[in-house]
Amino acid sequence: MRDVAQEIISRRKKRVLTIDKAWDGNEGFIAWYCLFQDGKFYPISVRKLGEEVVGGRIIQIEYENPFLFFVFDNGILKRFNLNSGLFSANFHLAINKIGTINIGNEKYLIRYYNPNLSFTRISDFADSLLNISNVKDFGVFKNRIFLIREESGKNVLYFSRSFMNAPPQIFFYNPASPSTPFFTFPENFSVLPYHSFYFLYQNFLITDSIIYQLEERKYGNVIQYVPVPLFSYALKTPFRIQGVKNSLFWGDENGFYTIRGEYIRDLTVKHFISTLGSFTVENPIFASIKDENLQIDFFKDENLFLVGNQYLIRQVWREDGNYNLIIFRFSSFPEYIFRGKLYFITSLDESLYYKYIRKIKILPFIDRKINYLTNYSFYEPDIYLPIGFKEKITEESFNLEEGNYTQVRGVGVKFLFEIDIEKGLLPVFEIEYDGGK
Amino acid sequence: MRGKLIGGKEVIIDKVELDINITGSGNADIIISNGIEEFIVSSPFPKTLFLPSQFRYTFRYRRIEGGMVKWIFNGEEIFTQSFQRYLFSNPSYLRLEMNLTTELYIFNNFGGTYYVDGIPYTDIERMFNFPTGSSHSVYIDVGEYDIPVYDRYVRLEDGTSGTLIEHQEEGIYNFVLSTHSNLYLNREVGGGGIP
Repeated sequence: MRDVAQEIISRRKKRVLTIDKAWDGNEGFIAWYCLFQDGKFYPISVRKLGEEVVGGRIIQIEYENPFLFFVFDNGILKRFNLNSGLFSANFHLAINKIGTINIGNEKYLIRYYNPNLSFTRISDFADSLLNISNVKDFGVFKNRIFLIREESGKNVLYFSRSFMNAPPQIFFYNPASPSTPFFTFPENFSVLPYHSFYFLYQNFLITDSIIYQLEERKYGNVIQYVPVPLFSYALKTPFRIQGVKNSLFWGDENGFYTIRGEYIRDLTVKHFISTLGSFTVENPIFASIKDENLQIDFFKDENLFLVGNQYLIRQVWREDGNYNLIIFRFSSFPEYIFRGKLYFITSLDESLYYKYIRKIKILPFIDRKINYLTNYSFYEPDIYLPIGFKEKITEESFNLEEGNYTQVRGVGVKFLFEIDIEKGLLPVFEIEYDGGK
Repeated sequence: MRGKLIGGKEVIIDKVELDINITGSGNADIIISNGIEEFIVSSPFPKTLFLPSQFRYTFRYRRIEGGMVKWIFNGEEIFTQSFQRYLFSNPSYLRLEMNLTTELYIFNNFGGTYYVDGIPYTDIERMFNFPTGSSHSVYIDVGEYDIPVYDRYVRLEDGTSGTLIEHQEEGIYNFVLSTHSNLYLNREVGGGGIP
C-alpha cells in the first residue's frame, strides 16, 4: 500500500507549456508592451526621436522621407522631421485627411480643407491651391487622386492621371454654354450611387451601407474607375475606420468588417489611417498591434502605432487634457528598453479543481538583435494590465532564476503569470503542480 | 528577472465599485463617459456602478434644479464642471454637491491671478456659487507679469444658452449675477505702436 507521500508525488505533474497562443478571453499570452515575434518574446528596444504635447488624438499618420505627418482629430496637421527630431508648429488647421503623390520627380503632400485642395512640394514646401468646393472626400491610389464632389445633388467621383508633370487643374468646359464654369478634375469621372457618407481609402469606398471597390476598366483608350459593390452591412454610427498598409477595416463598437466580408465580433478597430501602418485591434481589455508574425499589446485607452515596421508612436493622455506624443524608432543600439511584461493566463487543465503550483521555469535568451552593451535606460509604460481575479487565492512575487526552477506556492483554478521582459524569452514554460483533487 | 504568480478562481476584468451621490439641495443627472460609451445616472441617489478600472472616465453633470458647488472624488474637491480621472481605488466615491444658488463658472484663459470679490484665485477653471441677483467684481492682476498687455477682457455669457451678456476690455468688472453664467478672462499680448 502506498503511503501519503507517495500518493502526493504521484499526483504531481510536470507540464511543458508552449506559450504561442494569444489570449482569447480565457487563456493565452499577452505581450504587454513587449514584442512577440516569430514565436518568441523580445523587449522593445528603441531610440527616442522626439516628443511633443498635442491637443488632439491622431487619426492619420503618413511617412514621406524625411517627415512623418500627423493629422489629429481637432483638425491640426503637424509634421515631424526624422532627421532633426523637431516638430513643426501646427502646420495646418481644419484638415481631415492628407495623401502623398509623385508629380514629375517630386513628392507632394495633398491636403483638402474646404474649399481648397492644396499641393505642397515636400522638398521646399511650396504650395499650389485648387479652389474646389463641396468635396466630400479624397484619396490616393496608384498615384491617382480620387475626389468625390457633390454636384446638383449627385455625387461624382473624379480621378486624376497617374503620371503628371504638374498638379492637376480644373477643367471648365460646356460646349452648350462655354462661359459657364463646368467642373471636371481633370476630365475623368464616374457618377456614384447616392449615399449619405463616403470614405475613400486606396481603391475602396466605404459608405453608410455598402463597400465598393473602385475597379479600373478600359473602354478603348479611356480608363474608367467603376464602383463595384462588394457587400452591404448595417452598422451603428459613428463608424470606426482603419486603413493600414495591408487592408481596410471598418465597424462600430460591437465588431468590424474586413474587405473579404467577414464580420469579427467582440473586437473593435482603432479609428485611424496610415498607408504604412500596422493593423491595430482592441478587445474589451486591451489593444494589440498585429502584423506578420508580430504582436504588441498595450493599454487600449492610449494610442500606439507601428508605422513602416520601424517607427513606434505612442500617444498618452495627460491630466491637463492634452496628450504626450512620443516618437521612437526600433534600434539594435537602444537608448531605451521598454520594461514590458509577458502575461500568461492558464488553467493548466480543463478541470475545475484547485491546483497547487510548486515550481516554475522559463527559458530566457540573449536577443542577438539587441546590443546590450549600449548605454540604455529602461522605459516604463506606467500602465498596468486591467485584468484581475474574481476570487484571488494566492499572490506572490519572486525572482526568477534564469533557466532554473523557482519555488512558488500558487493555488487556484486559473493562474496569471507575470514575467518582466528585459531580454528575450523562449515560448517554453515548465511548471510542476499537483493534478488537483 | 522578476516574476509574479496570481492564483484565483476566475479571471475577470478588474471592476471598480463607484458609489455616486448628490448632496445638498438641487438635482442633476451625472454623465459618465469612457470615450466609447456614456452612462447617464439619474436620481434617486445614491447609486452604485461597477465600471472597468484603468480606463479614463469623463464625469460631468446635467443641471435639473439648482447648481453645482463642487465635486468630491475620493475626497478630492474639484471645482470644474467636468473632470477626467482613472478609476484605480476600489471602491471609489463620487459626490456632486449642489445648492439652489446661482453658478458663476470662471474660465481663466488669462493664466494669472484673478480676484473675485477681492479674493485671489489662480485656478484655470473654477465654480463659484452666489445668490441670484447678487453683485460681484472680478479684477485681473496684470501687474505681476513683465509683458506688455495689449488687451484684456472679461466676457460674461449666459451659462445655459451661451448668449453674450456683457463684454469689457479692462479694469475691474462689476456685474450682477442674474442667471447661471460663465465668465471668460482673456488677454492678448502685443501692442506697442509706431516707434
